[in-house]
Amino acid sequence: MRPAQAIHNWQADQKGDPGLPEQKPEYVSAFRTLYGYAKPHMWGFIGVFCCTLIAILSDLLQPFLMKIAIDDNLLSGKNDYKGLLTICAIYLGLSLSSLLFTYLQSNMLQNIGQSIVSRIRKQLFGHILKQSMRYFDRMSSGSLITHVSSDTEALNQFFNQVLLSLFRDGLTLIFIIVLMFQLDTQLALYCLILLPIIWAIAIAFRSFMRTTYQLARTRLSRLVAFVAENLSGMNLVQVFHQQKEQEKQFNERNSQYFQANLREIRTNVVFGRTFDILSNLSIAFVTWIGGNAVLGQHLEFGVLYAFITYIRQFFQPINTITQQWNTLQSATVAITRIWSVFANKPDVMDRELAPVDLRKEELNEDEDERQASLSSFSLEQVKGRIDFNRISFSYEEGIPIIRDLDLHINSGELIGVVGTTGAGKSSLISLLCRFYDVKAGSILIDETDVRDIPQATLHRLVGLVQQEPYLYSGSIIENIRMFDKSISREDVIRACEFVGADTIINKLKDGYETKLSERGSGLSAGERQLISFARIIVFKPKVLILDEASANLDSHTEQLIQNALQVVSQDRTTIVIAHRLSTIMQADRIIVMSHGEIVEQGNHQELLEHDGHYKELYEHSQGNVAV
Amino acid sequence: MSDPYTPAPTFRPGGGAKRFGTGEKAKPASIYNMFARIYTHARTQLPLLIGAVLCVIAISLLEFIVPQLTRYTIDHIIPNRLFNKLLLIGGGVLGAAVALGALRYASTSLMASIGQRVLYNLRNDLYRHMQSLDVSFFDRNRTGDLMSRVTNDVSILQQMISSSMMQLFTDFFTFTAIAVYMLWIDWKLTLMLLATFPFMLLTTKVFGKRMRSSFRTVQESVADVSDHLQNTLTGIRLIKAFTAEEYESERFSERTQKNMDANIQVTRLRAAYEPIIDFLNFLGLAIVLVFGAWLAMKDQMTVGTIVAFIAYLRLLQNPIRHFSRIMNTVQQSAAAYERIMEVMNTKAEIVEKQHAAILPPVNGHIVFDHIDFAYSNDSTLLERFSLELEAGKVTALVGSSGSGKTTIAHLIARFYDPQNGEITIDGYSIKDITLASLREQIGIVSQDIVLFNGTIAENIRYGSLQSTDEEVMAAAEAANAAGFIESFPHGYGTQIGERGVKLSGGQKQRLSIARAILKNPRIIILDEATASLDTESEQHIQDALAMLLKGRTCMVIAHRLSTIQKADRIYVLEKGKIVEFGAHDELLRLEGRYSQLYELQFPQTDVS
Repeated sequence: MRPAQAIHNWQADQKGDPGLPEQKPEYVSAFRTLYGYAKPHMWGFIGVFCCTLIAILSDLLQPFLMKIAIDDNLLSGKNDYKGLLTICAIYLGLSLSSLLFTYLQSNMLQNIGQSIVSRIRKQLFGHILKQSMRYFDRMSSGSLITHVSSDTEALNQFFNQVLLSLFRDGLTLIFIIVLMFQLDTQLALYCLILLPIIWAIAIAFRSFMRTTYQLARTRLSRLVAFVAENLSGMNLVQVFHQQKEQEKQFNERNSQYFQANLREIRTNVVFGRTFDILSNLSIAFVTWIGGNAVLGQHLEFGVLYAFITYIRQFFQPINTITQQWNTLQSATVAITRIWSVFANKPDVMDRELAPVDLRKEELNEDEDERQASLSSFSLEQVKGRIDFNRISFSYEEGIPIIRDLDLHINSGELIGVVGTTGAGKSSLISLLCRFYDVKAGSILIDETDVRDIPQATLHRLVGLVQQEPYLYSGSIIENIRMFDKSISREDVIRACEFVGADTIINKLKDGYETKLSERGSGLSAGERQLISFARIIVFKPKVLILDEASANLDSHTEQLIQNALQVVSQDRTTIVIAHRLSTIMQADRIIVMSHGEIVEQGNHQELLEHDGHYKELYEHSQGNVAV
Repeated sequence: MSDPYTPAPTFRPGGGAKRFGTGEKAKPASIYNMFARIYTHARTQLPLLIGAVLCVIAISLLEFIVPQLTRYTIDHIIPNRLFNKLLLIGGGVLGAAVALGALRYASTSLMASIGQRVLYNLRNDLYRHMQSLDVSFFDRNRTGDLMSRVTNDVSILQQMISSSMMQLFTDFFTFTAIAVYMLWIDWKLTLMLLATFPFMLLTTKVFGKRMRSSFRTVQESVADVSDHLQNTLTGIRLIKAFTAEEYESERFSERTQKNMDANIQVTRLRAAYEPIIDFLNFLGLAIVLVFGAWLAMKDQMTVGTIVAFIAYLRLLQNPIRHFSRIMNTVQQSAAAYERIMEVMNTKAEIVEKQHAAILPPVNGHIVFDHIDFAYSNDSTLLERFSLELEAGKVTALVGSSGSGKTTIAHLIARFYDPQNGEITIDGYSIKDITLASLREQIGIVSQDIVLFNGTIAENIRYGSLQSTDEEVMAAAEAANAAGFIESFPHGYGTQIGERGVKLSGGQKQRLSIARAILKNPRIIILDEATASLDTESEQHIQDALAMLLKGRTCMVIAHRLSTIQKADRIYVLEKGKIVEFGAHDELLRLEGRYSQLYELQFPQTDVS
């Protein structure tokens, strides 16, 4: 089963019984999907199965051999020393084969398990990256990290421990029962009474164990979340001298986790010991019944001995299986969580995959038009005309961010956008980059709806410089060309010269090969922004957007960027969002936004004469100067 | 091993590629050290520990009695046909079984509470220690890596302590008791049996070392994976804007691949080790069987003795077998322990002197006296730098990126120590006073805003927990934040952070200013505090700040000159040196660097 198909099944299952919050169907289909991943390794699993079979057989035949040795060689008094040696030789041979096949079995299983898990992990990661921004707004990064790292790890344990244990211990159990019957049917039947008792105990403990287990997990994740937050904000903790307070909070969470853990362990111990007592009880029972039989000459003593050994061995696999209970629990939870991530479709998708348009009657005409516009659309020929056709947008229902906004930008125009915090400036840009989809209206680039442009093309087309530059771990050159090897070193250097980053980079010891860390520490905010600006230049976008790009920069760096911007904006459409009016005064047109609407537009001079919002803003900024 | 551990490349500009901490390699903590440390923690609960040991001894004794009963049955009851005694024996086995169950429960519970308490302490210690480390430690180390040490490595240790320690303990006692008894009943057979032991020890030693280093690789790669995840998720906007999803997935694959290979390597070792030990065990059994049978045939030993002997042998082998299973966990824990200890052994570079004085409430006269400072050895940032901040005055620092402005602010709060020179506040060297009393009197509002998950009120109250709701509201009012806070349906109780309301940069900044206002420090440092605000809010904040700054020593760092024109004195910095200083008008008259900057920033005077 292909994963996509599996997810479809999963959803179908969900639809099947919408009223039932019972997790069972989820589990079932999640495991079914897992089976889809396991299927290509079918031969591997068969191999593991065979190895396990042989290893167990070798293990289990050993008491049988002992029985022969005791009954036929020792107790018979025949002094058959040769026979004994033969038995010993077989015994050693069995040990060797057990050694070899146990080794093979563990190795094969681990190989299979690891490759399945790593495949799932890769796909999960890829799937998460494909989600649209709304998803990342909604999900905490902590929980996503947990999904990809811990949950898949739990899955790994499922293969390594649970599956192995089911294979090995399940088979052992079956063999022991078979061997018992072989030895003495009556005694073996007595022993079978144990099975329902064991089953009843397991059922009785199950829900109790699950609750304690989940309590411990929840408390652990609270602890982890707390630590994560504190590690990233350590600066603040120290400057406010909150170590004592934070430590208290940590201790509190830690001690709750401690309590939950203790409870979990105690439950497990009671569970395990119940089986222990049961095991000893049954041995006593067998000794008594069997002993009587031996005394009454109905049973050979060796058989009794072997029987007692088998009863002990009988409980070993049962113990192991029950110990896997928690692992199975966590694996089940993990699988469901992983699949709920897989089941989430991105809100923003390329048209080919997007759901069919709702307006069915118009579909055919639209389709034709769309095809026509798509075929005329190519990256090189884009002029850069942008039309916002009466768009509306909101992050949450009921709180509109952009209301019925209409804006048309000619190719090559330099547009400045101003407005107070929360006016919707950045949202406008996010929509143009299609991080989100509009609620109503449409956004066209050269008459083509952005929703019809593949995202990869769109993001090549529109270059965005944000307020907080983000740099990768990697060298400066790789950061600028974004690991795109088709861009030559010369192009990178030229772009850096252009924005004035070249001199700064050359001053660094390793120049363009300087390694940057995740936070780009070692470079100042301005230097980081220059690098991210160079990155945009290298990619030669048709539409350039600067979203508060120079807010954090010092005057010198800002000047560099301003100069670069003047040249760069010559032959492309440019949109500059800024708080500082100085940055956008030269714009061809300035858009003043307030509460998701355009309240004024025009060039600097016109807007000043208009005596409205812009004038007010301008006087604010001038007011600073006047003081 | 064929695949020796190679450190994952880490990128720390200026810091070189040192693996961890200060670069001094942490001593590889041995298994012995690990248990020693666990013991020191456990020692505080001596009564519990003694109780657990007594239980374990009782268990070993009982384990030992049951085969004795079996032997008695075989040697005496069956040959003599003592039917009535059979019932007694059955009762004895039953009693022993119940007692065993009860004792096992008691000992496991006791050990669990000891072990969990040890972990609880260890986690607290680790957290406390991390908090005491200085900012440069957090600059050097990747958050993902630290996280995986605190969470993943500690829980590996937990697994060992909670599940394997008890087993180890019991097995050790059982093993000793049975071995002694066997030596007593037949030293010849026992010695033969013990002949396989040196081989077992050797195998354990050889495999143990490799397993540990493999586990280390596994744990490193887990840290790498989670680190990469964290990075990607923080930079998701950029990745999307550049359609770099494919590339990121590929890089992620590499890391997952490494993790997978390391895991497989571990299994390989483990899969070989356990069966080898088992095999040696069987070998011992075979020797005893052959030799014992020979003795029995020569009538030098009863068959019952041999059977009992074999039963003991099995008992003796169980602990060994268990041990070989646990080995895995022990080695994994040892690797985890090493990684934890690397953090614990990292000493904070910035430590209080012994008997450090408490800084009394200051006026805020701050002096930098010939400071040399570099983040790393190869690039000096400040050289013989001197600066004086007058008490109660506003001092501004301007200059281009990288000129050292923020560094100066961090030095005042003692996030870093200068290599040479001294910083004093009201004549107290900041090295001579406690960090708490120093930082209590400093408020920093910077461009990197940290807000914690929680309500708005909690975030403002951070650092001054005893303040009343009214004070919180007054602070928000002063920071011009009250307006937007009250517009939320839950007001001050609104959740912010990852799961909460999304705030704009300006809103966040106003919260952090409110926080500083509430803390009411003597010294205030504004590091680009208003850079990301729009003009209108900046204007409001400027007014609020003017109020906040009154009567306090203040250092303002800004790119935008508009922010600092009111400053009493302005320093213009260039590459860690002061090039000009004076009041705004004085500096303009100088027609130097400052007026140049001014021209750059206010060209609009010409337009209007």
